[in-house]
This record gives sequence, C-alpha cells and structure tokens, in this order.
Amino acid sequence: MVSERTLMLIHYLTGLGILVAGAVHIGTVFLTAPVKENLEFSGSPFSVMGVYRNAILAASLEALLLFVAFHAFNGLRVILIELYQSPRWERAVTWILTVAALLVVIYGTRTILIAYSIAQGVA
Amino acid sequence: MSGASEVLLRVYRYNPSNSGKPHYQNYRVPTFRGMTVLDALIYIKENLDPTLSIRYSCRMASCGSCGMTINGLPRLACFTQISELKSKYILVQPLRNLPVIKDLVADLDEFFNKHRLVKPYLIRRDVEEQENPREQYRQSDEELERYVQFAYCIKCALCYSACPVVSTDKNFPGPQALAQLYRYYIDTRDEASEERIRIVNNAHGIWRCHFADSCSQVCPKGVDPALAIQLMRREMMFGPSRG
Amino acid sequence: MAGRRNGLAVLVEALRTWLIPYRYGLERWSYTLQRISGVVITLYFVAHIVETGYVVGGPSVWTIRPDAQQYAERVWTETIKFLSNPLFDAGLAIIGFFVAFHTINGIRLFLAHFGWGLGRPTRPEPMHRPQSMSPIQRALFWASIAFAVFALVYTIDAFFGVLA
Ligand code: SF4
Ligand code: FES
Repeated sequence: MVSERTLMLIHYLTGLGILVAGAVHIGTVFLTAPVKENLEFSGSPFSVMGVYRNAILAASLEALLLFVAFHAFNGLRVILIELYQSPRWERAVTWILTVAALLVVIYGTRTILIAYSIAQGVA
Repeated sequence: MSGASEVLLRVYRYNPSNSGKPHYQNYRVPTFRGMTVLDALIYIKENLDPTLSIRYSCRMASCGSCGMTINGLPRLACFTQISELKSKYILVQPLRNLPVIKDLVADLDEFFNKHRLVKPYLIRRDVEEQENPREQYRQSDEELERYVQFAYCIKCALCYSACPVVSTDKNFPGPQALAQLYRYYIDTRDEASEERIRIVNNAHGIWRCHFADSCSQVCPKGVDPALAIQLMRREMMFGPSRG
Repeated sequence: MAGRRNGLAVLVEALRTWLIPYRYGLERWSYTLQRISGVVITLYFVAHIVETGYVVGGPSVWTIRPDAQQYAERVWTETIKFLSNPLFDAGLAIIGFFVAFHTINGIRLFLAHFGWGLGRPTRPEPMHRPQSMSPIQRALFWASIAFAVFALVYTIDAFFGVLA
C-alpha cells in the first residue's frame, strides 16, 4: 500500500504541476484564436489543434491530463472516505476511483495522440 | 445592558431514560450586569426547572466542562457573557459532533479517547533514568515557546465540536488531539518522534485536516490548534527540524 | 443530535457541515468553496475529456480515420451548435470562477499546510486573534476571491457582452 503521506505529497505536487501546465494550456488556447471567438467555440478545430503541431505543447497537455486526473480523483477519494468509515467502503472507493481515473487517462491520451497525428498531417 | 432586563433562553432538552424525544424549552431569565450564560442556566435550575442537566465546575474557563453550543457556536457557558451575545434570545444546545448524555451534557468519552491515542505525555527511551532521575531536563526559553501555547489546552472539546472533518470522519483524531501530538513532538524532552508520526500518518490521520480553522476560531484559551496541526504536517512532510 | 449513523442521516449531516460555513469565519468559507469548486471542476474535467474525444472520432475510434479532418470539422460544428446556448455559457462562467478560486486558494492552502505564512507559536493573550489567521493568509484568500470574480466577469462579458 502507498502511504497516505506519499499520496498527499503527490497531491500537492500535482497541484503545482497543474499550475504550470494549466497556465500553458489556457494561455495557448487564448493565443491560438481571438479570445472571445474561442470562448464561443467558433473558428475551426484546427485553430485549437494547431497547438498539437508543437510536440512539447502536446506533451504538456498529456502532463496536464495526468496531473488533473490524479489530483481530481484523489480529492474525490478524500471527500468520500471522510463521508463514511468502514474498511469495505474505503476499499471500494479506492478501487472504483483508481479504475475511473485510469479510464479517463487512457481515453484522454488517445485523444491527444490522434490529435497530434492529425495536426502533423495538417502542418 | 440594564439591570432590570430579561432574556429568553431556548434550551435543548433530551432525556434518554424516559424515552423522550429531543425538544426545546423556553425560559425567561432576569439578567444582571456581567451575567454569563452559565449563570442563567444555574438560575433556571435553581428557580424554574430543577430537572435541567448541566455540567460545570470552575466557572472561570479553567476546567473545560461547561462547553455547549450557544447561538450556533461552541462556547464555554461560563466564559460567555449574555451581553456579548447582543441578543434577547439565546439558543442553547449541547456540543455538536458528540453524543448527548442528557440535556446540555455531551459525552466526552470519544474525545478523551482520541486525546489518549496520541500519547499526551513525555516518552523517554531510558527507563532506568525515569525511575532514578539523575538530573533535570534543561530547556531554553526558546524551546519552551515552541509548545507552551499548545499546553494551554483545557480539553473543553469546543474545537472538536467545531471541526467539519470530525463531524463526518469518526476516525479523525480531531484538532485537540493533533495539537497535543505536536505539543509533545516538538518538546525537546520527548524522544518518541517516529512513534508519534506513525500514530497519525494514515488515511484518517493528520492529512485529513483541511485548515478550515474553525477550531482556532472557537478555542477559548487561544491555543490555535490549526497552527499546531500545520506545523506538525510540515514536520511530517519535510522530516524532523528539531534543534 | 443523539447518536445515529444510518446512510441518509450521514449524508445530510455531511452536506450540512460541508456546505454551510456560516458563523465560523473566513477560513471555513474557503474550506467550503474549495470543496465545492474541486467537485465541480472534476465534473467539468471528465466532460471536457469526453467532449474533446468526440472531435477526433468518438469512443470507438482508436486510430486516425482516413477522413479525420473533415470528420473533425463536422463534429466541431455540431459541438458548437450543441454548446451554444446560454445555459452552457453560464456554466462555463461558473467553471471559470471556480477554477480561478481553486487555483489561488490552492496556493494559499499549499503554503498553509506546511506552516508557511502562519506566524509562530506565542503565549496566547486573552481574546487574541489566532496566528493561523495571519494577514498574509487572509490576503491570499481575498486574492483568490478577487481573481475568481475577475474570471467570472470576464467570461460573462465574453458571452453576453455586458460590459460593452
Ligand atoms: S484546543 Fe482549545 S478548544 Fe480545543 S480542547 Fe483545547 S482549549 Fe478546548
Ligand atoms: S465551568 Fe469550568 S470552564 Fe466553564
């Protein structure tokens, strides 16, 4: 078992990571299209996908995905084990959230990989 | 507040032995200058309703037995003046987060057990020395300052009753116990750092504190348990930094 | 108030404690807001992953489709149509508020949890203000509120043009 200290250490570190990767994500989205239009989801998908032409930016999106997935699902775990206490409940919460987080990460990674390939083709 | 005025006390009543349901009862109490909520409750017990149960002893915020929820906040009844509540209507309930024994008397067993859990005493490795002391343990002023604030705790459970984590997590030690853990951890005479860390490094231990600071908000002795918990967490994250 | 621990009662008690910060001071408000914003952002995060997944082909496609570009254009247009109503706009404005708040307040908590900016233990004077409610911590809390309100106003203006 991973100790609670380690889990929370990762929680704090992913928080800091999101600060950086999130700023990059929001910044690039705002820069790739005029802000108001982008918030309105106008333009073309490639204005946003253009981000993926740059491998480093694509990698930072993958990092953001990993960080947020851990931070969010660990946060949910904390809330749920504070809600009710029993070994069975705790095990169920931990497993279900781990699987859910993995699914989100796998699906999101797939999106990033495909978008990266498409963007390479467009370039 | 003038001498002749009155307040209305709305008091929580609950008696498990005659299978009663919790309910509220109103009492009109004449006030005097400097009257505390405890004075008002004693007045009720002596003049209006002897069946009312309250627990108190020192009447001077030292024993920690008269904690209750007054107008929605956990407070010491003997340390809360009626005039400071600025209201003609006072709602008195037992402490939250604890079972009720009768009326305004909360059962502090679970609270004391959690205090016991963190070993609130100095632990020395050398047992022989404990039985035959050879010298005094010297401590500088500065070393004393590190923990003396937390040693002011009177175990009144107000912080325990205010804590939003305690309210749902029954295995969380609570602000008082965690503050006492730090008080002994940081004491230079104590030699059980690793053991103390182990006690609270679990899924319902110190990491569940979210720094809502309600404990420090209500503590009548200025102990600031939230500060102690954050300092303890720093020790647990970055390793011992003891002098 | 008497002890009982069945499922519904536990949930009601939990929501009451988590969602009603009234009377316990600023830090308790920050606790409540941090918790609510965390849950809301988590929901948004999952929805965002699902939504972007559709643009590259939906859950069943795991390679690049031959018509990937046209497909992306089409789904993108459909998604815009689906999302362009005031309800989603308002939702995104709230997400903006919560993200901004959670970020700055998260920094505040990160510092506080490790004892930074809290002051040192002293001998308490009667009725003194706890050191854990230090001016710098309070300032960071208000900064998070200010930033969140800014994000909210900015987003609302972007959608509804109230400032123009
Ligand atoms: S820390 Fe303060 S509120 Fe908590 S038990 Fe001790 S004296 Fe009471
Ligand atoms: S009666 Fe002793 S603290 Fe109130």
